[in-house]
Amino acid sequence: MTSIKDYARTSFRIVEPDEIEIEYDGDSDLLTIYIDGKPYRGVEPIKPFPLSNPYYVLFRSTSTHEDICVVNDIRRLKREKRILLERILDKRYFIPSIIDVYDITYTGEYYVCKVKTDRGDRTFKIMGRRNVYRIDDKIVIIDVDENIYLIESYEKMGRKAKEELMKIV
Amino acid sequence: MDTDVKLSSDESIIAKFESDIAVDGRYGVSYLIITNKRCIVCDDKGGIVHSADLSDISSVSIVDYVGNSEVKLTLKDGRVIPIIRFTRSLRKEFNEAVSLLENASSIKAVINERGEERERVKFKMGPLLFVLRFTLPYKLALILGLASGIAGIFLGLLPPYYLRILIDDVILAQRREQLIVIITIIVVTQALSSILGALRSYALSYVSLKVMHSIRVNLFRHIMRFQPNILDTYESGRLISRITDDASRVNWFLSWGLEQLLRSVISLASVATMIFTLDTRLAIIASAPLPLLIFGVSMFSRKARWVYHYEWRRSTDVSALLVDVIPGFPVVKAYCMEGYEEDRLKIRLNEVVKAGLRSTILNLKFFPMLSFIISSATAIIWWVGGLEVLGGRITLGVLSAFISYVSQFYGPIQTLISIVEPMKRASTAAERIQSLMSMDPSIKDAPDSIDLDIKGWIIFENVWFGYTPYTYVLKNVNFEVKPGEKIGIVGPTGSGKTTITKLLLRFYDVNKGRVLVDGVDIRKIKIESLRRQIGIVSQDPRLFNDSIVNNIRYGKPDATPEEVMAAAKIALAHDFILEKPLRYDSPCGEGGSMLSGGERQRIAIARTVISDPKILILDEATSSVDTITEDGIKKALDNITRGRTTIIIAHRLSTVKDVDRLIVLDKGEIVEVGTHQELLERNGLYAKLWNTQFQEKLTEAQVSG
Repeated sequence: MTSIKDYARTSFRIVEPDEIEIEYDGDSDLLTIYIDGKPYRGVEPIKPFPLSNPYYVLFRSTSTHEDICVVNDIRRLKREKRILLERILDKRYFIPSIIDVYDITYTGEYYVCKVKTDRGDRTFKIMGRRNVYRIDDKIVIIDVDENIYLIESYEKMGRKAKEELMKIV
Repeated sequence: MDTDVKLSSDESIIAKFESDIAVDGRYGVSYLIITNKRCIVCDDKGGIVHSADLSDISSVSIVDYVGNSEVKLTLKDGRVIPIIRFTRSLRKEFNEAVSLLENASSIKAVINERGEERERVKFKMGPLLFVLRFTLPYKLALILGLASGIAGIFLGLLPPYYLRILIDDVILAQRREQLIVIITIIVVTQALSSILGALRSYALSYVSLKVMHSIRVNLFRHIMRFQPNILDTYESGRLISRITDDASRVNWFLSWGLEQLLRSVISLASVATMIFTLDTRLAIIASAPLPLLIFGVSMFSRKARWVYHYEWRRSTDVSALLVDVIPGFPVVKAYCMEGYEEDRLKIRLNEVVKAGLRSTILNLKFFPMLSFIISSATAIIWWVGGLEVLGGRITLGVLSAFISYVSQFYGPIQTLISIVEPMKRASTAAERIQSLMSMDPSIKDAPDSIDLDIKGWIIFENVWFGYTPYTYVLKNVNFEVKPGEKIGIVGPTGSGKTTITKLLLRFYDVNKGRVLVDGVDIRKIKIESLRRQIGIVSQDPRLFNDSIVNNIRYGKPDATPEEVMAAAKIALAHDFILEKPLRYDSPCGEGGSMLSGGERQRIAIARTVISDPKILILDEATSSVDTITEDGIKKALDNITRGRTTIIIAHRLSTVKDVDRLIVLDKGEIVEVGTHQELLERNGLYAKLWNTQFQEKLTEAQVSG
């Protein structure tokens, strides 16, 4: 009888930060990674849990869809590897963090949210609470155009921002 | 009627069932009486039509005809005697009668079982006292709130007292220097009163919210102790209403009602003392309406209880309908039944309106009359007091102070009257909470139940089971599954396949026979221990309104990310999940509404697989996926099911043809057992089902080709 633990172990190899080498795969957004010296080309870094476990990355072959390995915490990678990886991930996972809320107005059809994010000010529309959901203390907002915003901690938001957020949370 | 039936000295009646069809076959009355010795059928005059000793009865059955049914006794000598007829409206009652008759030795057990999940009507403790028990952890805040409220009452007694001094000793006596002192005292008193009021409101609000929280948690925990069959007794909307609406009404009682009650009683007592001190004659006039008011309120309370219960039930009817219809929205739309559902809702809402008006009329019968009595008493006091002042028997100051106290006297009386209605509502809500909390689940751990490390050996031994008494869905089912064996259960719709899994999970207990796991009767295994080691994927799996990862982790809350992904991989869900923008953090929506049927089913498979069950049940688990995906899941599951006891229930026979053994059910009975090949060769029901499905596929292929 194969337990799920055994199956997980054989299906997903966890590599330590020093066991993996990372470089760009040509000009594309893909990587070539080396594990124990063995190269894997056309590799896509994926965050399987982009909100609940954002530093966990799965490396997957784009050609064979083979899951090559996982890195539990990319913050433990050496600086140059981490910067290279984060540059790609940053583009693939554009999830601005909302750090302040200026105003939320209900127009009768949408809630128009004017916010300050870590990527700058932004105005977006959501339909209602269906577009807002919680993961632990985090709040995820998906706007009508399917852009995603994250509030790291509702409790840590300012008083005014919390008051505004009460309209949609 | 039973007084006319002659019983022997050692014979006593156990149960009596009244039929709505007379002995002559017309609408009327006849009776089935079960004593500790006999089964008797009487006509409406008590004349015995049939009588059979219990010891002579071999079996009892009900035969259904159009519009009516009949109980038949099979005696040990082989004779079959039809004894009593009844309309289908009484099917449930006579099912119970038959259950009682069927096994004389099980009579006590059946009675207990019936009584167990019924709400108890009488309680040792009144409902509001029951609620007050929840305030114990917050007693300091409660005492603070009540004490500040009471202190506020005494402070409130001071201004009229100073008013008298102000008029008689300061203004009329022309003592200008005392004016500022008295005014200052009045202002300070009012300020203190406001501060105490705020303190009281906060403290009581804190207690009530905390108590509401704890009642809701306790109710939820209590409901979770039951098995899914609680929904046979209560619709989910009604249960939700008890947790939400009833708890809110109790909240009102604690945050407002209780304090108002105490305040009113204390202020009534203290003001009464003051007015009797000021002028006894006027005080007697002021107290004159009290007996009438007390009588009126007690009359109201007696009538209000049932009126409010009735009104509450109409509201929960609406909740129950909405809980049923809103999740089924796509079905309503697909069948264009919006109008029909609106009509159903309108009917129930009309009932709510009617019930509301009924309670309003009840209120109007009492409260305006009570208010009029109070107003009349005040007018009389003005009249008598005015004459007293004009006659020089009392001063104007005394009359002013008296009138001021009288308004404070009637104030609490009016408050007491006005809170009677919400108090009754709160009391009935508390009663409902109390009744639910006092229910005991019929299926629970036996005192000697054990934790068992399950290997996966299952035996169904002479199992009889029906969801309603006597209407058996499984009839004398016997089979054994060895540890690590993979079996398939097949059969036509309604043959009892899914019921087998429900019994194995002990959602229900068998009526007769035993279910054994590793040689132990499952009634002797701790329910949690049993269920933690059995994984089930059902045909229409319910996902929760949470992320995909949390739904998968439902099967193993401490699963590592790799285990989550591995489980999804086995269920062929990993790839489609990775295609979603938020991957495993993607929301599933309410009931999984943001996913397709196939996606939902695959996540449900992952949720089961991750729990590493010792016994895996796949109940039509792949019915929502196409055959190619099903084949993929089967191959992936092979890794995980190898050496693990697996029960696969399927309509699509291709799903189960490779299992070690197939059990074929028909109308609750096992009709065939064997491998796919053996059953085909036997040319029985399985072969028939197989050939039908094979023929359908062939036809489909020809049509599409």
